[in-house]
Amino acid sequence: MPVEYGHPMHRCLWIGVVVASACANACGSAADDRPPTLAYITETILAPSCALAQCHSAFKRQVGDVFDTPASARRTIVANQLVVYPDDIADPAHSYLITSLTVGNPSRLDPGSGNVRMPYDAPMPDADIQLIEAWIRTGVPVAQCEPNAQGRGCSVTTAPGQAEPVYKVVECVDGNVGADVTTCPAGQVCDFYTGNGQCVAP
Amino acid sequence: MRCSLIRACALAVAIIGWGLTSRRADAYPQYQLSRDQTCSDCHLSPAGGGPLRENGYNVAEVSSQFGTAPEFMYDKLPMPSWLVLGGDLRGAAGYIRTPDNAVTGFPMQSDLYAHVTYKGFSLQLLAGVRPAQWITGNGTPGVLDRLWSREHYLMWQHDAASNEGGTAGLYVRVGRFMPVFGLRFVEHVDYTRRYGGTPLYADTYAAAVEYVTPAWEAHVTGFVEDPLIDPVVHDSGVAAYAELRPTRWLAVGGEAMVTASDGLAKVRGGATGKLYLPSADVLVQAEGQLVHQQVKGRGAPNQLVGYVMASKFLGTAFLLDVGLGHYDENLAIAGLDRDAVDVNLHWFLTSHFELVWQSRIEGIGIGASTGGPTGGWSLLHGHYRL
Repeated sequence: MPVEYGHPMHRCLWIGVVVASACANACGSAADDRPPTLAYITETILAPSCALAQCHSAFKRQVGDVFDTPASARRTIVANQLVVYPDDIADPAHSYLITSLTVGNPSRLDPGSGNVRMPYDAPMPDADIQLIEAWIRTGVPVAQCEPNAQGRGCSVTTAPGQAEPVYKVVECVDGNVGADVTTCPAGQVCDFYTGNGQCVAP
Repeated sequence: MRCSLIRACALAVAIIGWGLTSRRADAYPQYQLSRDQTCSDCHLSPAGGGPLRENGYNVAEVSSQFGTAPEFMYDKLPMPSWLVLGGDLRGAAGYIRTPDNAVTGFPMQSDLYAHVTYKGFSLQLLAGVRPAQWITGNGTPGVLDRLWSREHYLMWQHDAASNEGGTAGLYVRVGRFMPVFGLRFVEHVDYTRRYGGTPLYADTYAAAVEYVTPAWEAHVTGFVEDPLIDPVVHDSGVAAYAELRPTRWLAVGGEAMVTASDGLAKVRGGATGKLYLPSADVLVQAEGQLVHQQVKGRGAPNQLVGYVMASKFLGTAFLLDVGLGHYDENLAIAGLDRDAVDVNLHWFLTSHFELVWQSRIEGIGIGASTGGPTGGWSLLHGHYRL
């Protein structure tokens, strides 16, 4: 049967749409009682938002950041100094991780092209960013150095306009990122994944 | 949860309303019911996608603007009956605002595939270019680091020569492929793909038992985390999908998936529906999932994922899709749900080449006191099939 505009069935459908939309918009929910832990944040926020095939999955590792598991997120946050302990605890909004989500940071793929805000393909809810900030505020628990026998881990930084990243061996303080022990000489990187805390040939 | 369900219902009503107000269209080959009953009527795989069989070539030809020979390499390189070769090239460029503004362009796919058949057995191999893994220290990936085989499997089909033209019956597949689950939209950005258990490159090593007939089909896939590469998805589990077609124009389905990784277990359950409206020549497809998660340590959020798409042919060679997506990251917390409106306009220029104008508007926590920025994009996507 041909369906025409103005048919009574259509009017009912559109009335239904308006009523249902109004109901949906009027709904409320419970307060945000999600646990501010790295495991929870990674599995429910970072992995589905950031660890896509072409982005920060173990498959792609874009700019060296991986967020698909709590262990990967921990290594990324520590090694790439996305949250610096203890500096960022008092002001999480200014950590690299949070500014990446809120205002963007200089592009590491195309330096000089301006700021890039993450996630690149879809916005992130404010409440998720607030939960990550809450986790930072509690002292970035478990996003810490994975110390070697000497209590050392790695960090790597790439300043705006800087061509080469700088690798540093850091002394883990209370399990978190601490003071720089040494800066790896040119041509060497800090071996984080297989025996962290040592400068080795790449 | 009730709010999300209401919102999902509103979206469904809206899209069905759009479908009913549409005037006319022809059929589109990728959609069941409007042209054929099963994916395997056009594809060699029982789950659809990849190499085409003869009926698929015919549909590609008649639904394009300028026709052209639909076979591999325009049939300039005739293949023996036991061999099917093909390939796909895709790229896209356009404008995104998520929420910052950017003009972007990127390759999407460069794959070649071969399907070899011997009696009831067949071997499918798909190989191509993959996104190279980032190498810390400004290293450059080697050529082999840029290549992979996303899909390769051995398939057995019971009594392949004698039933329903060779497309129906029992299939068993072992190898690397995407677990069969849900409606399997082509666009991986659709919410039931991205958040629904089958994101881009979730292909992994699996074994599937599948049964396909014109009236119903069922697929059960067991899969494990890929042990050979760093995968996109770390899950192992089981996926099941069944679809019943009580009439020529209606299909209803059920789906379930149980997965586990080191830190997370998930149980998904959902339903699908497809309704073809002959008078309007519109196909409406819908999928909804409830997801229960158990995060190691603490936390058990429930989620809702839904997508509704209405598709209408405009003339011979154009297809308009309007899709509505809903994803609620945590049903208990306000402001964590997102909704998207997608509009895709396909232009099938030849039996090998398609242009798609894809646009999305996305909002977070619509109607809630908390939410987030809106986003969107408008991209022109080109697809060439060898």
